[in-house]
Amino acid sequence: MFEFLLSHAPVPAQLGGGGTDPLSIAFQVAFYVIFVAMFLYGQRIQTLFWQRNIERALRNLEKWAGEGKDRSMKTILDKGKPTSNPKSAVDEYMEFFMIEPVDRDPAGVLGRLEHLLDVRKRYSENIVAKIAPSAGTEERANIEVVLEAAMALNFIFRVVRHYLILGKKTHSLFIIMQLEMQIPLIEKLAESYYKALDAFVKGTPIGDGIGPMVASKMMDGAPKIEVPEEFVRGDINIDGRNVVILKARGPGGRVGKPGLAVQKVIEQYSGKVAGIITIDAALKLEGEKTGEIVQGVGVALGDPGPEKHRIEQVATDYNIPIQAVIVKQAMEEAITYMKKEIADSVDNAIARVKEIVNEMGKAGETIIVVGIGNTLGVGQ
Amino acid sequence: MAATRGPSRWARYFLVNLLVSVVLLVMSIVFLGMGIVQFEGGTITNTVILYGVFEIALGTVGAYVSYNMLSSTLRLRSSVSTKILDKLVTVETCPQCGFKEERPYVEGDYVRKDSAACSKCGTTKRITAVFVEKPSTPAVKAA
Repeated sequence: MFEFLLSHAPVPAQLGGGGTDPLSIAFQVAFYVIFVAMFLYGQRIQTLFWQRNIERALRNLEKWAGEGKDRSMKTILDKGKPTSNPKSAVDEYMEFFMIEPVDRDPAGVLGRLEHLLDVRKRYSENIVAKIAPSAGTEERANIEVVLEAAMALNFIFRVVRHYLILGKKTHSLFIIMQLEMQIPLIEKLAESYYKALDAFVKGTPIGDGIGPMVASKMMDGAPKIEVPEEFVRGDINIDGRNVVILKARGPGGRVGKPGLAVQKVIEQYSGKVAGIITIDAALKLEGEKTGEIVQGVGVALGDPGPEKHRIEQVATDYNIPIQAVIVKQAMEEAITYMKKEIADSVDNAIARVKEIVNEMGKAGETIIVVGIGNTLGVGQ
Repeated sequence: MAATRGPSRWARYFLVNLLVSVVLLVMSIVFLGMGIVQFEGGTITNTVILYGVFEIALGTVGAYVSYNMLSSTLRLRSSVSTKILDKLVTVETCPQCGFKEERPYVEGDYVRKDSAACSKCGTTKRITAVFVEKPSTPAVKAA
C-alpha cells in the first residue's frame, strides 16, 4: 500500500505544484480544499456537529413525547372507558398553560398564585372527569399525573425544537452552543419523566412518596379523618406526646394542600402546638447516598410557594419551631419507581422523627408531623 | 428538519452520515500513509518533516472525526428498544407477628392495602412497600 502511496503522494514538490498524474492532482486539490474549508468554515463545521447531536437528542425527545401522549390515551381508554374519542381533549391538554401572576407588585402574589394553581387543578380535574367518566377517584388522580408527565415531555420537546430551529434560521452559533451544552441535562430530565410514566400508569409508589409512606406507617392503626385539602389525619401517642400525623389522601397520585392542613390543625389547638416536623424527599448532590436521612430546620416542601409560605406564616404567628427530615435521592429517583434503598429508609426516618418529637415537646404537648410528597401508591 | 418522522427520511440521513464518515476515514488513512511515507525517503530535510507532520496530523484529526461520526451514526441505528425491564417487588408484612414476605408486584398493589393471610399466624397481612429491585437503564437512546 505504501509503495502505491509513495508513487502518488503529494510529496513537498508535488504540493507546491509538482505531480501531474490525475490522482496526485486530486490529492492536491483535496488537500487545499480541506485546508481552506477548515480555515474559513471551522466554526460552521463545529456548529453542524453540534446541530447533529441536538437533532439526535431531539429525536429521543420527540419519541418520548409521542409515547407519553400514547400512554395517556391508553390509560384513559383502559380506566376511563370514554364514550367518545378523547384524542382531541388530550391534544388540547398537552398545550395547556398557566400564566404566572404579576410579581412586580409582590404584595399578595402568593395568594394570587394559589388561586391560579387552584383554577388549574380544577381545570385538570374537570378534563379528566370528562374524558375518563368511568374511572374512580383514585384512578382519576393517577390519570392526572400521567397527563402531567406527558405534558412535561411534550413541553420539553417543543422548547428544544424551537431553539434548534431558531439557531438554524439565524445561523446563531451561540443558540446552538447553549443548547448543545445543556442537552445532556435536558435529555436526562425528559428520560426521567418518560420512565416515570410507567409508575404513574401502574399507580405504584415513587421516590417522592417517601414522606407520605413514613406518615402512613406512623399513623397505621390510628383512626383516620379527612382534613382539607385532600389530606388525612391520624393521631398517635409517642411517649406521652400527642402527635398529629398528616399525609395526602392516597393511594391516588396527590400532593394535597399540606399548608392548609397544618394551619387547620394549629387553629384547632389555638396555636398550642409544640412543634411541626415535615418529612420529604430532597435532591441529593452527585456522590451522595440515596436514602440517606438528614435533619434540619425549616419546612421541607417543594411547592411553588403558597403551601410552604402558609406553614412558615402560621408557625411564625404562634412561635412554633419547625424541623425537617429529608430523605436524599436524585431527581430521576424522585419521580420514578421507589428504589429499595428509599423504601428501606422508612424505619430510620420514623426513628429520627420520634427523636425529634421527644426533643421538641414534653409529655401532654401536641406535635404535628407531616408527610410531604406525592402519595401515589401509598394508602393510609 | 431531520427530526421529522418517516423511515425514508431516516434511512437517507443514516446513509449520508455513513457515506461521509467512510469517505473521511479513507481520506484520513491516505493522509496518514502519506505522512509516514515522507519519512521513509533517504534524506530528511526540514520541509519533509514539516509536510510529514502536517499530513500525519491531518490524517489523525480526520480519523478521529470520522470515528466519532461513524460511532454516533451506528448508535442511532442500533437503539430502538425502549422496553423498561424494572422488576417490581411488593413487601407484605403481618401486623400481628411481624412476618415479612416479598413477592412480585401485581397490578393494583399499593402500600397499606390488605393482602393475603399470614402463613404463620393467619392474620391478614398488609402491603408495607412496593419498590423496584434493580432499576435498569432502558435502552432509550434514539428512534
